[in-house]
Amino acid sequence: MVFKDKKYMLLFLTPAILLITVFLYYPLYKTFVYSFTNFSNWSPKFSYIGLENYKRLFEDPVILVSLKNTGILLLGTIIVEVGFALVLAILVDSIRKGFKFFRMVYFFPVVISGTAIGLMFYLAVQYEYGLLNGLLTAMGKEKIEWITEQSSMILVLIPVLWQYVGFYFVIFLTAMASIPQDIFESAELDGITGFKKAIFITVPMIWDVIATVIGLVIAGSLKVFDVVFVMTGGGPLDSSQLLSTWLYQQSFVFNNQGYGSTIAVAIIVLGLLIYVLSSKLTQRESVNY
Amino acid sequence: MKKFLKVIALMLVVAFSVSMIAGCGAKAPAAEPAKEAAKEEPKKEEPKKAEKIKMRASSFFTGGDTWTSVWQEGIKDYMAKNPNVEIVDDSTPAAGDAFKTKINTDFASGNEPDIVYGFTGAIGKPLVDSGKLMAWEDELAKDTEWSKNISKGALEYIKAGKQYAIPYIGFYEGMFYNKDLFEKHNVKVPTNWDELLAAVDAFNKVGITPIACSFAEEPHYIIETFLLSMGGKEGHDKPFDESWAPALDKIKELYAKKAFSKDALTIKQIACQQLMKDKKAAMFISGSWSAAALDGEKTSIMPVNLLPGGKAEPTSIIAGFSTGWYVTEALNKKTNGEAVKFVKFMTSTDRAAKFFKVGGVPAINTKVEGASPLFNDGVAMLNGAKVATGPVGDTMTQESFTTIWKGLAHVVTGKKTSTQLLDEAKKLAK
Repeated sequence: MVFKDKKYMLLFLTPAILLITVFLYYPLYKTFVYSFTNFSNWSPKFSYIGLENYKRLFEDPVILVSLKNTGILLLGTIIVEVGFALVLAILVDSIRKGFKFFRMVYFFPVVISGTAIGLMFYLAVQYEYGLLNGLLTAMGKEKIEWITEQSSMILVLIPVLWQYVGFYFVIFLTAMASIPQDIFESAELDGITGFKKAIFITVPMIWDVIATVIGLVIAGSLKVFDVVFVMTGGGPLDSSQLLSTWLYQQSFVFNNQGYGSTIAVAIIVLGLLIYVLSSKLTQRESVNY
Repeated sequence: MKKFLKVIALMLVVAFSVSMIAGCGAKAPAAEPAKEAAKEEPKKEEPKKAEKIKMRASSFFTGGDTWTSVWQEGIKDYMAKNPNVEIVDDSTPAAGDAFKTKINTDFASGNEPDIVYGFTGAIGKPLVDSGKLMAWEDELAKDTEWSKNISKGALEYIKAGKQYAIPYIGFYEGMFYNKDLFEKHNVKVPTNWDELLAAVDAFNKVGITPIACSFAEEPHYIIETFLLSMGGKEGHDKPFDESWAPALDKIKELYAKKAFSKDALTIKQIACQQLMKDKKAAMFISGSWSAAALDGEKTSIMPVNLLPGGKAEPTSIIAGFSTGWYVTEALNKKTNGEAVKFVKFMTSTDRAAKFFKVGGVPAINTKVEGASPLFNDGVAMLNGAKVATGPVGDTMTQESFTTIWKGLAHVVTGKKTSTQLLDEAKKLAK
């Protein structure tokens, strides 16, 4: 075979390696370098300030709030997004009619952009001109201030979770379709019920996929930005600030690109840590069939 | 067979690499048509259709902005007059500092547009520092037919060492108020702090928001006008003057009196304008750019010098020129001066009249016909001002001023004191 020759492998890989180096690793390296500088106002004149930005990172009260909110988002996505997607997939997998309809309905929000979803939810919860308050007024009730310091994080969680449930649902459904039917048939002969079938056969058989999905969800939740940015902009009073929105605001609104780069480095380190931890926790012997 | 596969493999790699290089270089030919057009110029006997000159124009005239329609109409008319020119409108809203972010990033990343209508002063500094802008001195001296209509004072006002920007729309800040609401509910238009508090109570009683203000997006104008009212021009212009903290505390006092809408911490600036227009709010502290979005017949404007113990002369206002036309030097050369021609078209007296009919303070000597009473009230306030000064945000680093305006919500809700906030901002003032 032609691919036995290693030089062809290299030749084919070169364009991809070039692209990934130019557009991923080089910016990553530059971000790391900028995190040690006072780069601000997009001025090309900046100097190295050692660990000053990292010192600021540990003293910044908004970082603490962002970390807490990122944690809430992470837990929410793992428990609700993955859990709900799994339950939906198990339910839809067991029905014979309308399978395609449900798959389309649940998958639909994935194709809408996060910005549009954020705007849609914002327009619904707006105080003066919002849909919900419009309904309340029509019913003769008092308007409610929906986005408050206490409720903002829950409000942004709803569209974030709603948007991606369908994506993981389709992944689980595809994985379930590849489980050999004879396993279910023999279990049914032994008198297994629907719930036990899901717990003792379906979930263990697709455990590899669940672990991968958890990894994807972790990476995805650290990247959540658009919905939160459009809905609350991290407010009110920084109550829905995430690491990603705070990074944006520091870099582009406060115009401190050096400190923004430091937050970016923190996000990368945090992402890696959580990913390694989740990989360890979800490690099991894979089932081959 | 093996040899054949090797050849196929090599061809694929070559084809992929060539397409990649071609893709990466796609931006460069943008200026080529101009060059070609220039080369073809001498052959006038050949009425060959010149290739299109493509330019990108950035501004904040988009969405709900006052001047969106006249800006878009200007671009359309210029393209109709010059069929070989295509202008891509690359505008971004000013709200939430989106425009500043976009334009600074464009210049920093080598993606600068041909023409910018943007901010001057401290906010425009990254553009000036980029070294990519054209200085207008030669053009102003060369084309006096055009430059004689530009206010000399306005030119001087926005000069940043060299004349990098051409002034156009000036501004003033003040308190818009719905005259009809004050009349209907028999409330006196406030001329001092006590009357303002009385008006707040009166409007709260009838379910009207006393003052529309977005602490989430643009509390800049309430900050600037209160600083001026409390410290006078001297206190306002001196960064972190001792009068600043008491001025911010007065905003907190208003918040505690429920002077703002219930969602003041999250409402967007455009929704505040709408509240005023829909007569759901009685007062709105903003600038001349908001005038066109309000009821021009039954709304008026006044200076915000209402703070007790304030040092400001009663007619003092924040006003000036903090925006202008920029042209990118290299791109202007590549398009054979087309960018400059476009700016001259937009700043011509006829076109300027269309812009100022909508609102703003003209830096161009033009006659604005059929202006609304609100427009005239604004001009009267400006002409009657014995003291005028530029916004404080233009005199300090963006990080420092952003800390103040973003942190104001923390002050009014009691999470921070005004002194704490100003100390934080001072550290970032560099």
